[in-house]
Amino acid sequence: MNSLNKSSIRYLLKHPWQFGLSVLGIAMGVAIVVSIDIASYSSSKAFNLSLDAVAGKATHQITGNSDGIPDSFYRSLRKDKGIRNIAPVIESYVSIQDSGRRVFKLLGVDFFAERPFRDYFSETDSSAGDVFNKLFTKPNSIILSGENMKKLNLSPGDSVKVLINGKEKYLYIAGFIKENDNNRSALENLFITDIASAQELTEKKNNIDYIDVIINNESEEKIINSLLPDGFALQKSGSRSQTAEQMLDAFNINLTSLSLLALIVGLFLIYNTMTFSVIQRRILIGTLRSIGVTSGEISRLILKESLIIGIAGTIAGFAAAYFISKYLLIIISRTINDLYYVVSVREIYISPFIIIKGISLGVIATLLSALKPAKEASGVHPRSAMIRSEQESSIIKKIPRMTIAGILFIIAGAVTLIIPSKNIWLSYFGILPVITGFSLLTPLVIIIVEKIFSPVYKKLFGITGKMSSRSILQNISRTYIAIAALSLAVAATVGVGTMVSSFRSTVIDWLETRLNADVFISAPSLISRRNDAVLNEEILDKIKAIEEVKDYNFYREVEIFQDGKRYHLLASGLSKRSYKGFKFKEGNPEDAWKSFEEGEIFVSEPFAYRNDLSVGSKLVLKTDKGMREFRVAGVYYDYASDQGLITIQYRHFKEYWNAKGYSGISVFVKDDKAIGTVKDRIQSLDTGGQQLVVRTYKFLRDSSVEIFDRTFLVANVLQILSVIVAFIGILSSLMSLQLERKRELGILRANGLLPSQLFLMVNLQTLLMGLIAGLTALPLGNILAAILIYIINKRSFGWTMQFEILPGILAEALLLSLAAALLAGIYPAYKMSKTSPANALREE
Amino acid sequence: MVELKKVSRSFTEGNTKHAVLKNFDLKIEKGEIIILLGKSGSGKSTLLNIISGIDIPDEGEVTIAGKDITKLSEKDRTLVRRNKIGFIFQFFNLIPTLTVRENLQLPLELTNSDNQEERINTILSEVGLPERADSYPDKLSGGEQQRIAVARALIHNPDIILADEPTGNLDYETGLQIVDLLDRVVKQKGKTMIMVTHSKDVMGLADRVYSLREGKLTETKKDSVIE
Repeated sequence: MNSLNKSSIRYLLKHPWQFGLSVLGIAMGVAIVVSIDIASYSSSKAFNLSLDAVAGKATHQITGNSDGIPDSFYRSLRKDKGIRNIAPVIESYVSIQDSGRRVFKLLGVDFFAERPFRDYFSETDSSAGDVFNKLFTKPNSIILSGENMKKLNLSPGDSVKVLINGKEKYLYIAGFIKENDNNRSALENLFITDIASAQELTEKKNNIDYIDVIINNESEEKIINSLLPDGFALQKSGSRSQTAEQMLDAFNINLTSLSLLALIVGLFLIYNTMTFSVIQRRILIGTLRSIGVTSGEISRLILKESLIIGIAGTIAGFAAAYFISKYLLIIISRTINDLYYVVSVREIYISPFIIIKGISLGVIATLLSALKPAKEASGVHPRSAMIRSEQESSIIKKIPRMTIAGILFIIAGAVTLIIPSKNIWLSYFGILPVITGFSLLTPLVIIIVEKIFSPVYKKLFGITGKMSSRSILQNISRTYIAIAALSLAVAATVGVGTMVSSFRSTVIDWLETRLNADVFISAPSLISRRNDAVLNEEILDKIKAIEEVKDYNFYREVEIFQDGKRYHLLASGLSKRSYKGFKFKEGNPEDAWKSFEEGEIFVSEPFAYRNDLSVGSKLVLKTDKGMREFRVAGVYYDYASDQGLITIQYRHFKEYWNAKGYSGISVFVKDDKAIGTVKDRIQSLDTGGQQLVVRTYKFLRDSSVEIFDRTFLVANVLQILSVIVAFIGILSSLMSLQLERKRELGILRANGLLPSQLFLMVNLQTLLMGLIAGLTALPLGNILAAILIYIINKRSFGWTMQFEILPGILAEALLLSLAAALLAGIYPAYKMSKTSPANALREE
Repeated sequence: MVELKKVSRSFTEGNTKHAVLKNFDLKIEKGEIIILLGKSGSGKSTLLNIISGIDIPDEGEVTIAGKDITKLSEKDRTLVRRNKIGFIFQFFNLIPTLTVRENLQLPLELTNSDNQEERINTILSEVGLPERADSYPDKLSGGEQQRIAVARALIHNPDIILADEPTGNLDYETGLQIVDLLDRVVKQKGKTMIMVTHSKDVMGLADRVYSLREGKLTETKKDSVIE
């Protein structure tokens, strides 16, 4: 190692606080980004594995109508048309009632047609013949993996109570499948049963969900396509997982970008550290330049140092990510289960892309953030480097230019943000110049605040107070970076906090308008946001017959897979009194309802945004009677689904779709006092084993808000982590700043300043720095919130939200800023007050 | 060896322009030792900076070993400094994170010199500090640090030594030791040296003494300064 590098490494080691905190800052940034990636990837990998497990070697799938495919059609394909490489499938979810409600996928298959599709069925134990015998003869028999059997504490011959489509059923364990490396992940989450048992368990009678197909060439595809009736489709096997991934796109992008925010704070920290280390070493760099070290060599030296920090931070970040991702995985998979689809994630998966991305962010981004300090170092003039005051005065001289540049950056960000586009990344890209612009305005704010506070501090704390405030200005080249970093982190908390609160208020307002009935009835569902289980139609008749019931609504939700997209269609049997629950973004309500009753459709705001629809647009939908065109009569505000909803009147729905039953029913009670009675009566109805979830308005509202809060839990976690990163940043800056002032403070001590006065002086200074950071964070935070609400959320999900500035959040942010600065200042203040003045003077 | 022709340099402070060097010429032959005198702010350090290529004049030519360095890029000027010049500072400016040996090794590495170990040991003996090779600068006294700084300026065998008040931060006795050292290792090795100093004790080394006043250089008789 050459002497320059040695000197550089020893510099890092001689400043362990600065070095360690920078590594920690980068590690936190990398850990947050990587753990979010791991958690998202693991959820989607688990979901895809479960799809792959079910799809087996199938290349295509035949899907049918809203109520599935009649098994007679399958038989005719196989027997009459001679198509052999097909297998019928029924898919459902069961939750184990007495084992932590673990969810398994129930796969109903025809074991005789299975061999070409899912070969792990040959791996039953030695008494395979007996197992198959039981599967065919004993109703509701299943096989599962040996590992799952052990986990559930079951043995062949046992029964297990499960909830399936809202009804309690017993499954009989016919046997188990031995795992091997090929089938382990496929079997992880699977119960397999015979197709007849599956029909009985899911009450699909003579229907199946879809038919798996192996197609070897185009002509086979053409033949099958020609045999499909209206409303049936042949689609590639992977299309379902693609649709699922598309659903999560916006969700994942927003998670990633929130995590990137933490990384930006981390990068600010690196920038901060490297700038500090350059400033601290100006004399040294000047000497090196004088003895013939070129500016390029100096700049490479600084970049090498940042590379060391970046590599160390990245390694530590990956280690931390492993632990953080386990926690995030629980939160994220719960949100996916709440909002999108059923997924059970038990393992952590890491892709090479996550590793490359983590390394790139940690190392390359660190290098990028060190570019400017490296350039500054290379520009250090061999002689002027030795005059410290020149450097402070040069910053002061630069303030007008920095202010103008800051304003220009903010304008550039604003221009990027208002470019009409649906690209979420472009929007996030627009945030960067806004943040940079605000950071460049920080020195100006410091001057203004210092001018105001200097006399106040002097009056309150005497000359010590004046020195505290004055020293922020005197060391502005360092203090402004620390203040800007803290300000950014606090602004991020204000931005995300205000966005979440604004969104929450919007959703609560919407829930209060929309949920205008008194009691809500549905079947137990595995996805909180929509009802995947169906109530039979007789239940509504029984509810209508309850004396206290004044009026009722009902709806049926179906999923339509069409052109690689998944649409949610809501068939509403709405009573007129519920019409007022719909607020229209587009369309005159009176005309809209009239057209709706005549068979036109409503679309929710996110659906209209995603599909570029407005009132009068035409939408072609795959119905059970073939493709049909519907006119959009209105676009309504809706926050139930970021994928968007299509609403059609139930009467017209029945004209085109065969789906039976209701996804939900709500009733209006004649007298408010009778709500409890009606709820009890519904619960005591004879439903033929169908379990009902009966909720009052208040309960449903509260549980919806609870789901909302759960969804944003991850945002809150990320927010806290960002503040920790910022805290590390300010601690690092203050440590360096105070340690660098050792001699100055030593002189003060030598002149009779008491350790307690020194402690007070340092803390007064950091407190003022916290105040400046907090004051700059408030406008920036609100601008960030406005960008998140009006641009990012709009582009990600298509939602309109009301923006509200919450004094509570602003006060919290200011307190956070003050507390972070004060806390970060305590240790350096303590250390300085304890240092002997003789040492402080000598060490210089 | 060093030739300055019609060199001018001024600095702007606020709205006022201060001419530090005014259209002056200076020619120094190989092996000559020149001493520059002048009040604070007279432009002595600026002149050293210009000769070393750290600063460039507003007008005029600066020729070092036959090359006009004002025409060179910043990088090439640095390379001239690296190869041809050794610097001695008032405040020593050793690299605090390197040991004495490593401080001496640095110029050798920069110039890709051979026999680095041997040269370090030799020069350490010459400056009388072989036993401090593995010490860090903060463990040395001011005099010791300056001796190492002199060694660092010489170790890569530059043609020109620029010394900016090398005894200015030392007590009288230690200052004399440095003068003695410069006499032994600079003068006797036939190096060209330009030194800024206020110390009369150094005058004995000088071939010529100049005073810098109001941007002009005037040769001063050595004896008149010593007296």
